Amino acid sequence: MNMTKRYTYALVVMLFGGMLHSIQAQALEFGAISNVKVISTDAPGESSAFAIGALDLFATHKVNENTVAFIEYVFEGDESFVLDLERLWIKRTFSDAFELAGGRFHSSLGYWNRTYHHGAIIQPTVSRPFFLDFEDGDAGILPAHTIGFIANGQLNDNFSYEASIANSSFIDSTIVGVDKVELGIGNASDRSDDKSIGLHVTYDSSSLPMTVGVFIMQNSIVENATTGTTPAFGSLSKGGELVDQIISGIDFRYQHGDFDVLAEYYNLDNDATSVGGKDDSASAYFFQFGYQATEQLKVIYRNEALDFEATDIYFQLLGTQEAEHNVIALRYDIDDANALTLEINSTDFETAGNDDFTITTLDWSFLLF
Amino acid sequence: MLRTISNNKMGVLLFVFCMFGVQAFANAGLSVIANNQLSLESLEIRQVRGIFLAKTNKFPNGVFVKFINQTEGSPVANEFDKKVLRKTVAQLKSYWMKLVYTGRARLPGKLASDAEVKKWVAAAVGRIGYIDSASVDNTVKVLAVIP
Repeated sequence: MNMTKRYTYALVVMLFGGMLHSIQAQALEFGAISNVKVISTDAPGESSAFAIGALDLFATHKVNENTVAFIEYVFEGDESFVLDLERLWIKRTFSDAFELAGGRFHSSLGYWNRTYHHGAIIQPTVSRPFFLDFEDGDAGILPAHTIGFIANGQLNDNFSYEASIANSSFIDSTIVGVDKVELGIGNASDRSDDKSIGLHVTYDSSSLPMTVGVFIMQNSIVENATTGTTPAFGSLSKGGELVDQIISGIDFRYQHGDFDVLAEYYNLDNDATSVGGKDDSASAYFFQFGYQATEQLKVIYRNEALDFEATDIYFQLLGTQEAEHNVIALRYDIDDANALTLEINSTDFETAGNDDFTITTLDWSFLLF
Repeated sequence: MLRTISNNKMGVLLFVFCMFGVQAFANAGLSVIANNQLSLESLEIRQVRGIFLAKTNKFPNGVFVKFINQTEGSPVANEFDKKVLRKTVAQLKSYWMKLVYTGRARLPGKLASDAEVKKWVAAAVGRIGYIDSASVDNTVKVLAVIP
């Protein structure tokens, strides 16, 4: 790690640490989430290990009666740590029906992505549904993060909405086959004039303990090749459209007594005709069933799957594999601020030549404030 | 001397009665109050808990609810947290921090006195708060009493 990075990381830690002493008279709330774990795996090339999870530093500030700001930094990495600004937004409440926020958020895709973010103790299991993995570092296939504006509100007793306009996504096709390709999004610039548009409408039933959401996002994935390199598709220059993508889906939540269900279904329409490809469709889903056995102990089972056509250029670029996962977890909430979770996550690849594997994790997650 | 002793006994008795009186006043219990226009007459304590922990955003009759707390550490707030929410200050802190982290909840608002809570509740239908039962008057309606 070079000295500039060391100083930057130290400055961020000092900033958050210093806030602890100066915040008491202000409406600033500060917190940190992290986790430690023991991992046992039979994945090819992987060894069992002790591991620390990401250190998630977040703070929220009530700017005034109607305005709130939120920031979240995450330290994460293996051999060296990377500092990522995951969320940064400011939101003003105009009415119950209209709040407007600007900044960097989690996309309005489904329920899980908008609720659990990066905090290990917040989400019910150790792992996210695999197709909801984050774009950076985890080869995620969906734009989990977005930079732009989000409007949201409660329309009436049953309906609420989120509507967003944000930067488009990009892929550097020149590194396909050379390095790991990641779906990127610009924090301070956009590679294209085409913007991502999203809408999520949620219905909260008055008569049944269930909530249903439907969502759609139009997203352009454009070329991010730098000058002088050779893009995968002829002379497509930086900002040229690779895939015109429409993501649509439904999320469903149901709770009855000690049982709860969370399910999400995604359809990805990836139109790559502009680069000589096809207009392909892919689907992904997860179904999660939970049982609160005691006040502190919860049993969770989840099935997840991703299917796409072999001709889908989007997944070719990302190097994604079709797969199905089965996850079983036992979560024990020691108290409101720390939890133990034992998770068994088995991966079954659809494509021949890939070894299926299982990861067993004992995770201890905690919240500091 | 007898008069002095008698006066002293009276003073002691008066002091004791005052203390009991103060104690009785402090133990008047809590009342969960709502706007007089709300078409709801009572709430169970578990329903109150659900509202003040943001597990529900509606009254049982479907009306949207907005709740207000009293200043952290005040006797009324302490009693409410202990008897209704069944959480310590630290537990509430971590509970709300997790909710705020999701981006789906705002830290609940706080007012400094029973009078401020009554005024706030009386200003709009759907609002709910808690006060010392001794402060209840006809500007608000009582949905639940916590002895």
